[in-house]
Amino acid sequence: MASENEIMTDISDDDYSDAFDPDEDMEAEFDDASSISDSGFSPIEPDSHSTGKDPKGKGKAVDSMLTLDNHPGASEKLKEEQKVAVAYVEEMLQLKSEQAAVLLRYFAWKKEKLVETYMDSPESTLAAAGIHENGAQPRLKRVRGFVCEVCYDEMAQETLALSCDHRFCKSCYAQYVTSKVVDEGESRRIQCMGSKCNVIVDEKTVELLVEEEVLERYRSLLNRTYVDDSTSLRWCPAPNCDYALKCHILPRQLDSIIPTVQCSCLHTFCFGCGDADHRPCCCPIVRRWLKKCADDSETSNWISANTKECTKCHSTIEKNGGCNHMTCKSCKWEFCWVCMGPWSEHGTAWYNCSRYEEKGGDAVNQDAQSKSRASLERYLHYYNRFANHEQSIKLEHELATRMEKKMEEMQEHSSLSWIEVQFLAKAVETLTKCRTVLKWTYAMAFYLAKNNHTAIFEDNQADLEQAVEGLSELLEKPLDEEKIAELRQQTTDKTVYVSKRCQILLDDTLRGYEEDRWHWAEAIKM
Amino acid sequence: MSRSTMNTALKRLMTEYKQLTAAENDESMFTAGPISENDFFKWSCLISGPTDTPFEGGVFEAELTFPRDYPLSPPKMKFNPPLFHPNIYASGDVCISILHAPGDDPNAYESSSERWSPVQSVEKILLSVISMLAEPNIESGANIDACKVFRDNREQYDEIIRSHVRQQLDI
Amino acid sequence: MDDAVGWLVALGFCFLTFRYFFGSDSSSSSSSSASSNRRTIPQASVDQVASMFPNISEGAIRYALEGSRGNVESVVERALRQGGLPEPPAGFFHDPTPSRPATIPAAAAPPATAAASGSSPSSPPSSLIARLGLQGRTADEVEEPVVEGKGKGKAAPAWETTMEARERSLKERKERMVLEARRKLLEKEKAKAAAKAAAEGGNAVEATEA
Repeated sequence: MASENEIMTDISDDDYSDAFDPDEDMEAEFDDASSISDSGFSPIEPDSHSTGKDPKGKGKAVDSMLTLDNHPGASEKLKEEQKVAVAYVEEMLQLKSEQAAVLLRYFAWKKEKLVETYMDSPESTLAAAGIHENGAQPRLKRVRGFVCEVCYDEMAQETLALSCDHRFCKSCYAQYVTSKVVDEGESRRIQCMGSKCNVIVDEKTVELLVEEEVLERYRSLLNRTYVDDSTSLRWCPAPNCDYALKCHILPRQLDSIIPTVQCSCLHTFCFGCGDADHRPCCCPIVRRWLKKCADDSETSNWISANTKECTKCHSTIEKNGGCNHMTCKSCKWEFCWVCMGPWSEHGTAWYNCSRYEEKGGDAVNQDAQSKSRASLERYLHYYNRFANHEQSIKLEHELATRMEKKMEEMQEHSSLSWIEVQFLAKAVETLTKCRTVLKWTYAMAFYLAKNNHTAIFEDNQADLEQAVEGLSELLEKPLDEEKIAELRQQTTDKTVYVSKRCQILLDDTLRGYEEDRWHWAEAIKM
Repeated sequence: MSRSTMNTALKRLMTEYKQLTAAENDESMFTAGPISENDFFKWSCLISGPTDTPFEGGVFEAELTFPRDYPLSPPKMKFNPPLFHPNIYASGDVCISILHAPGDDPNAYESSSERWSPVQSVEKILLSVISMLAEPNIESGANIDACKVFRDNREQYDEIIRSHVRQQLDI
Repeated sequence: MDDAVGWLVALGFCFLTFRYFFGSDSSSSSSSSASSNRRTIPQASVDQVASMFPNISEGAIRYALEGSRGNVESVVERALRQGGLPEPPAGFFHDPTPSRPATIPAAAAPPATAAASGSSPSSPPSSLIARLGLQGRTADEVEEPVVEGKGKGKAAPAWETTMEARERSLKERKERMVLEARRKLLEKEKAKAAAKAAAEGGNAVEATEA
């Protein structure tokens, strides 16, 4: 559990250390008023978590991260938690431990609700959860003259009945439980085979019935349900990752908090929806945006095309790198990939390319058709930029491999050591992260109502956009052996600058959520 | 699906067939059995229309298709030709709670409708279907047209069924 | 092309004749819009009627719907009143496609339905009697079941030991069930008709007495 403790110390800065419940030291509590802002994006600065905090102390920043180690000694931790809860209920309500476990699973491990409901009316609570009061623990038994109602077999073999006394032969029960576990992936809700009987087949009974392999599967399924049922636990969505993370966030808070967490496997994702990091957009906006994109994909399909024509000589150009500064190979014309305008205008006036200018103020006079065209145009403006960054992020995976080659080259041609050429790798990493943030700013901007706050947001966005393109361009340049030192200096500086811009944008946006500064053009509900 | 499950299914279907045959008499509301004993998983059955309903006097043919893991899973039932009824799809497939395993609804114990469980049987299914013919459940309709006619124009509904009854018996 | 014009004329004639006989409730629209209705019988309406009357062919339903200008309700009423619907005149649905390129529903219908509407006008779903091959035994049905009833009594059928015997026994029981049902229903209808006649007779007597 060393890794977990490390992370916990990492996040539990002075303000938060008392927020930890001594009994449940696995939880990092969320302060309702706090929002999350941790860049984790500044590879140059060693302590990314401290940079994530607002120096003025306005927006409290915390990344509530907790990893339940599911590997070495692993699901043990989850089991331990369950055991503690079972023991608590067992003692409190004077039940058998199997009964307590079934009850807890029925109540999705909400102890307080369980105890309260049980105190109100023990009988109906037990019945609802599928527990027969005073039922003895099921045993295998041979009964003379017994005919199983499932296979209609009269052979004298072992039989079993749950506390409800519906008796069936062992082989039928075994087949039934095996098919539930193996075919349906069911574990905590396997019921008696009797008609209209909801008594649950508990773990002890399953042990009596099935083969070792099935039992193992049953137990791991049962263990998984603990996380699935819990609102404060979530499996890391990264493929092949077995970690679970804990974070306390209520669904209704998701329109103002973006609970971004990082798993021990280094995957960063949103705890609210399980999707990859989507700051600075909050979950409801993300959901809307993605739905809109899926719905409108037909009209905007052409955008995703990878080729455009040079505006000067009309030769077809394929975008093969992340940078938007394009130079036509045949006529040497320089232009911007996003707006297709000449690049010379972009040096100082980049914002023309990232901010959508609402054309004309006489909206009243516009007829319906041009209105809808305007709304499509507006959508396409944002979608174009969103999709463009997405595409660039994909292409930057290739960039990363190219950079590796470049780094090798550099080590050969200069006196730089392996450590010293890492600046390139860091630059690529920063680029990808900042493009992800930028990408989502366009989704957010699409839904923001036009006002002064939005203008500031778009300024920050334009600044970041410009910084990102600058860095991207620097990385695309062919290597000049003479100027390696200069390139290193430039790249390092730009990388720092880009992370800083990204941090500024994120901090401001997240503080905006906290201060209720963002006004949406349409009603956003969770 | 393991061999033993299929053996269980066969044994059980054979036993049910035997019991159904033994229980049959002139008052029986249905006759059921495998179409050919080479395939015990496909049954055909004849069902008499319940009395005091427009189905009265009629005989309807339906097909039962059993899964290999019967009785863990329920069979499917299909009227051929299709019956005009709120709980029967236009294809003839019957939609009734006893042919569905209990769902994910943790409160399913509250609903009074009978669900599939391995202790149900062909006999119980057929009895449920007969009572379904008499009392359609338009809350969970499978044939919207039939639901509408049943609710809004009962006379027409009855007449449609009576004409089907006569047609099936060549009258 | 001449051919096509000929078809169109024939088609129009069929339709007008049809309207002359059955079009009593269609008075509100001009014939030009009626002919456009001819092309827009949605498959859904056909299916709706077909699901209520599996014994009426799709061709007949489509024909009737076109007559009622797509009014499902009136077609259902008519089918009930007349106990069926007349088959469309031969060739009604077999026009060469070029002559009516606008017949989208028919052309766009899935091949299975198209085939069904083409070939099924004379083949409604077979009755139980036909499927069990009992056509020959319906004539003397009044006598036969009585004999069978006496012969086999109320005892449960014996459980035969061979597969063939069991299959035969099941088939016999099914046949008996169907024939019995048919006999009873016929008897009932006869009784009903008699009762009705008696009632009418009674009324007539009363009338004369009064």
